[in-house]
Amino acid sequence: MTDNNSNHLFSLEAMASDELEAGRFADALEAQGLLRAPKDLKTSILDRSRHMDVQLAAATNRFSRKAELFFYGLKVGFAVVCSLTAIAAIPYVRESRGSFSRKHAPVYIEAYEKIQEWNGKIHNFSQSFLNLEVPFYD
Amino acid sequence: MSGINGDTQLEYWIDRYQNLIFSICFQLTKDYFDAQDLTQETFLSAYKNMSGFDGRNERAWLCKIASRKCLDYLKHSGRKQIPSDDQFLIICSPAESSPEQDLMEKALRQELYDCCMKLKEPYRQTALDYFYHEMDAGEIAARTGKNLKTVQTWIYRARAMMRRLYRKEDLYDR
Repeated sequence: MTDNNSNHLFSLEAMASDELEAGRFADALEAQGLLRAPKDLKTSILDRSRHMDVQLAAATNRFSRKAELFFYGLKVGFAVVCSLTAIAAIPYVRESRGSFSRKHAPVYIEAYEKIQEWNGKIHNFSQSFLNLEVPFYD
Repeated sequence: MSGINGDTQLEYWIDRYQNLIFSICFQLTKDYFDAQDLTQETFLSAYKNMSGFDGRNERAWLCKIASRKCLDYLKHSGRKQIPSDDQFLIICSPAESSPEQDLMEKALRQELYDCCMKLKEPYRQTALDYFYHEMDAGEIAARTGKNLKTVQTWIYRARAMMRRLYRKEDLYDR
C-alpha cells in the first residue's frame, strides 16, 4: 500500500497476522537502513535460551509435534486394517446371500465393528492428549 | 529438530537477523530498551516454536513474530500515541531518504548518550562504557579496577534507571 508521496504505509495488525506483509515491511526497512543491534543482545538471548523454562517449552512443542505424527500414523494404520478387514469380509458377506451359511458372516461383521470401536477410542484419546499441548504462540 | 540443532539454528538466526528484528522493534516502540527486550522475546519465541516452522521464509516468519510481540506490547503498555483500532507506520522510500539513511542510527546513539549523561556516578561512566561504547563488563572492571560483580550490579542498576528515563521522556514529549 503506498500513498502519493511514494512512502509505504503498513498496518501493524496486518504485519502481525500476515507473513507477506511483515516481509514487505522488512524490505522497506532494509531499504531505508537498519539500526545496529546492541552488542550484548546475542549473548543475552543465548543465555536466556538455556534457561529451564525455555528449554521445557521448546521440548514440549517438539514432543507435541512427534506425538501428533505418531497418533496420526496410528489412526492411519487402523484405518488400513479396517479397510483390509472389510475387503476380506466382502466375499463371505456376498456368499452369505447364497449357499454360504449365514452364521459365519456376523463373525466378520462383528470383528469389523470391534475394530471401528477401537479406532474411535484411539481417536478420542489422541485428541484429549493433544489438547493438553502448549499453545502455539506464547 | 533436536536440541543441539535448535541452538545452532537460533544462533544463525540471531547473527543474520538481529539488526532487522531490532530495527523493527525500535521502529514500532521508539524505546531502546523495550526494543531490546522485544527482540529477545522474538528470538526466544521462534526458538520455542521452531518445530512448527514450515521452513519456507524464515525472515518473514521472524518479522511476523516481532510485529505480534510489538503489537501486544503496545496494547498492554497503555501507550496512546497511535490509534487504538489499528496502528500504521510510514516508511520513507529510499530515494527520498538516502542522504539521511543513518539519521535514525545517529539519533538513537545521541539519545542513548544523553540518557547516560543524566545518571550520577558511578552509573554514568558505567552506562557510557557499557551502552554507548559497548564495552563488556570484564573490560569495564579491568579499566576501573573494580570487582566484576560490582560492575555487573552497576550495569543492572544503570539499565533500570535509563529505562525509567526513556519512559519519562516519552511521557513528556508526547
